[in-house]
Amino acid sequence: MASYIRKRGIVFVIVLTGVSILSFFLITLSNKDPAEIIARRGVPAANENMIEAVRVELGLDKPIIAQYFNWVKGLFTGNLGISIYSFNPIAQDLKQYFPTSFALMGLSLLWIVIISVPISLLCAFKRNKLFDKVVHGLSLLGICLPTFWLGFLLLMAFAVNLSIFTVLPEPGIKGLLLPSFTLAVPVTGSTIRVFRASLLGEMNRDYVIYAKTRGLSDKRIICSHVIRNALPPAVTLFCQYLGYLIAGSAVVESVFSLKGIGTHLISCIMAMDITTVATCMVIIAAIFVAANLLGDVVNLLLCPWMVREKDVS
Amino acid sequence: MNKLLEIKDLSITLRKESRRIVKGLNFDLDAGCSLTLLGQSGSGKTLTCKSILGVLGVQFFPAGEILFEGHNLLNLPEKARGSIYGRQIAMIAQNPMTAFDPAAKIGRQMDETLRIHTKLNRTERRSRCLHALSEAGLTHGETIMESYPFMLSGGMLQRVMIALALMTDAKLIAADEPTTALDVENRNATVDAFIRLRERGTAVLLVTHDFTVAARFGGRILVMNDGEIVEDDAVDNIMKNPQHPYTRELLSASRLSVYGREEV
Amino acid sequence: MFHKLLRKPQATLGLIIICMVLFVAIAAPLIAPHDPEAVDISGKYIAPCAEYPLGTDQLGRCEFSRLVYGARYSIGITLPTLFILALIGLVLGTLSAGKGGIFDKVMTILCDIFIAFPALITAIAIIGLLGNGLQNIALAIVISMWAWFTRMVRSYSVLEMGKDYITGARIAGCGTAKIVVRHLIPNIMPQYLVYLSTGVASTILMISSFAFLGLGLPDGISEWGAMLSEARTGLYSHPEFLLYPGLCILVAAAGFNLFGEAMRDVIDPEDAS
Repeated sequence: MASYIRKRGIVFVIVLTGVSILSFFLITLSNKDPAEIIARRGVPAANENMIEAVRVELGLDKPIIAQYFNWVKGLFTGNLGISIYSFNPIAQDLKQYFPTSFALMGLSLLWIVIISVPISLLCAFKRNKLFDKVVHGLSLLGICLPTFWLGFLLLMAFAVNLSIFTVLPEPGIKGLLLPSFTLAVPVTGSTIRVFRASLLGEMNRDYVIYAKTRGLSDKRIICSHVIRNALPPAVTLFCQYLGYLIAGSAVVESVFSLKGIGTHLISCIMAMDITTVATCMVIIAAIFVAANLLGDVVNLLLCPWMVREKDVS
Repeated sequence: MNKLLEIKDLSITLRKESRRIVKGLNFDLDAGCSLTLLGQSGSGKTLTCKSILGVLGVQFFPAGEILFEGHNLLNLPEKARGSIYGRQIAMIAQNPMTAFDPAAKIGRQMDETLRIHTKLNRTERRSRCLHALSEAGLTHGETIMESYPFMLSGGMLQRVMIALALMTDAKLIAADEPTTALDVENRNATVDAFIRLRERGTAVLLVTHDFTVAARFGGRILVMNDGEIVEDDAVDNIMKNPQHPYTRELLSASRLSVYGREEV
Repeated sequence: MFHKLLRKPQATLGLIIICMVLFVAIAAPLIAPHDPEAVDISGKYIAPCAEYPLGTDQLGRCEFSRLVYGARYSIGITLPTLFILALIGLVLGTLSAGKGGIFDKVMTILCDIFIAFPALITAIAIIGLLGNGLQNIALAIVISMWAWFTRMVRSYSVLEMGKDYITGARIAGCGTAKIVVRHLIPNIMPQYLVYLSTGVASTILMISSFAFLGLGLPDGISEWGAMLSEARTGLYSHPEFLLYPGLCILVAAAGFNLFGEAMRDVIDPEDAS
């Protein structure tokens, strides 16, 4: 167990390093000169010397490798540079926009868990009955729905026609209910399918049959044994979908007029503010990798016997 | 009469193909006696055993009667299941390595069985588990109870299953191919364990395809072929004087000498 | 296998939808009554009639024609892109599992790195960097998704490589290349096709997401996602224009997903009990 965690830890660090290098590479691809843009903003007729001064100030005159290390150091210290879109320090922009997006994602995660776990369990209990088939169909629908379309449909239904919510978001949780639900739908569909399939797969196992001959009721077998063994694939999928949630928030924020990291990212991309984009992507990727590691650890705790079966490449 | 188990006209049909796999079986088992179902794969012996244990699977459709102390097991209401299975009838699963929940400790799985069937408190349950484990031939009962299934060998896990049957003083133990998943040394030990169970007064239903196992176990054999009983006699008689051509084939295919003793 | 497949209602439905969408995409000029880009401000928001089956939008363009041509964008971008992705995934994934060793370890970590970046955001960033254009969209999608396909193929391949017939082939003297081409690939193709089918659906959704956000395609183009974005202004007055493009996306994605699901059920059937 300990050696497994150590191995995963090493891979974690390597992957994060790779992620940071790739993100930095993105920055180097930009053909805009941040020094020039920032210099010209302050003084429109800035000459070469002033631009050069700004360049030195931003550390952009140093060799690429040094710039990379400076940037990485900045990631840890919070000095992320200046955005050429908003001209604020990037850290300030992120502090402003990340909380909304995190709240959105957090609520979505809640929706996903609250909806998929009970429904998957019910499906496993009522296998192949009408309920199961209906859920199967609905979950497929959920995966095929374009997120932005669903958002508009919900807006039309609940904000325009029924006036339970407003089209422009209210502050606080209420304003996030519809957007988080919209974001959650495709992932919920997927999760239900995977968890249901996993539960059904477990119920065909030998230990379930033997447990029945020991007199355990179906309910007890499912609750005490099957659920735990069926969780790992759902947990893994869940963590992978974290990445989708972060990405999908861009679309949802656009539909519901929220000011989160997604819409900010789009604006930065339009303005070619690659530094902000790369920084955000590093952060998002790091969260994703950490979430996956967490998922693996959770799976290990749930099913300790899986360590033997793990095919660590 | 002292009939523990009565099978009356048991037929098992595969739903999808409407094919009868078990065709009208009739046999009895007395309390404290043993019965071996011997046959090759496809003979219907496993399905018969499963239907007695109530785990037949929805793709099969049983007909007839399985009477356990007068109660028809095929019509058993859900609530009554708990009082018979795991208590009066116990199973020894074919593959010990997959018979237990891999994510739960052995002790917990044993304890939960006792909790369903008895009203003992925690200490009493624990001591009963430990006692049963040692009766089944396992030393270091505490360690075993603290282990996960993947930490134990097939032979040990099988003894845990025997312990589970002993714990509730089951009247009938049904073992479906208990020797198939084990190596030769453990095989003999298993058969001997079942012999001791029989001597103790527990009825044993043994299902196997291996004549040497049946010979070592002794007692009454039902030879099954293609869903029917082709021969019903004591092991010694069958080996000296097999009546049915199929039985003769089976005998000659196994490595027994004329007098029915296993050549070492 | 195909016969079993066609007996399932989902498969037939999925296949019908796919054929319909393909047909509409290919035969768009024949089906659409008008030029989808033809602007005519004086004729805006005409109600559905014989000449304009679904009416006209806020710029007087025929909605039906736009939807029909929209299929071209969705299918036209998705299929070639997916083909490239499928190829890359197949080659790299099977090589990785086949060769094993350092190559495999490096490839796995490389995939992990790329997978860490959410596909949509990565693709958006790349399009933003490269600018609009169909090739750029394809490139962006390939860069953001290649690792998923490679990893999928690798995991199928690893499972397959563990099977006895591969060991048998090795003992018989087959080299890695031969094993991969003659044995591995044909045996993982069925599962891979399922993944590709659902992959088409996700890519259609992804492309419409970019277009919705205004990236990758010039303004005013009749791509379904873009049409939805344009219809936002009519949320109160003409909500039906929000409905139609979304419905098209949904149906197209559903067709591929249904078919993929049905294929999966045939290849790897759930236990009936």
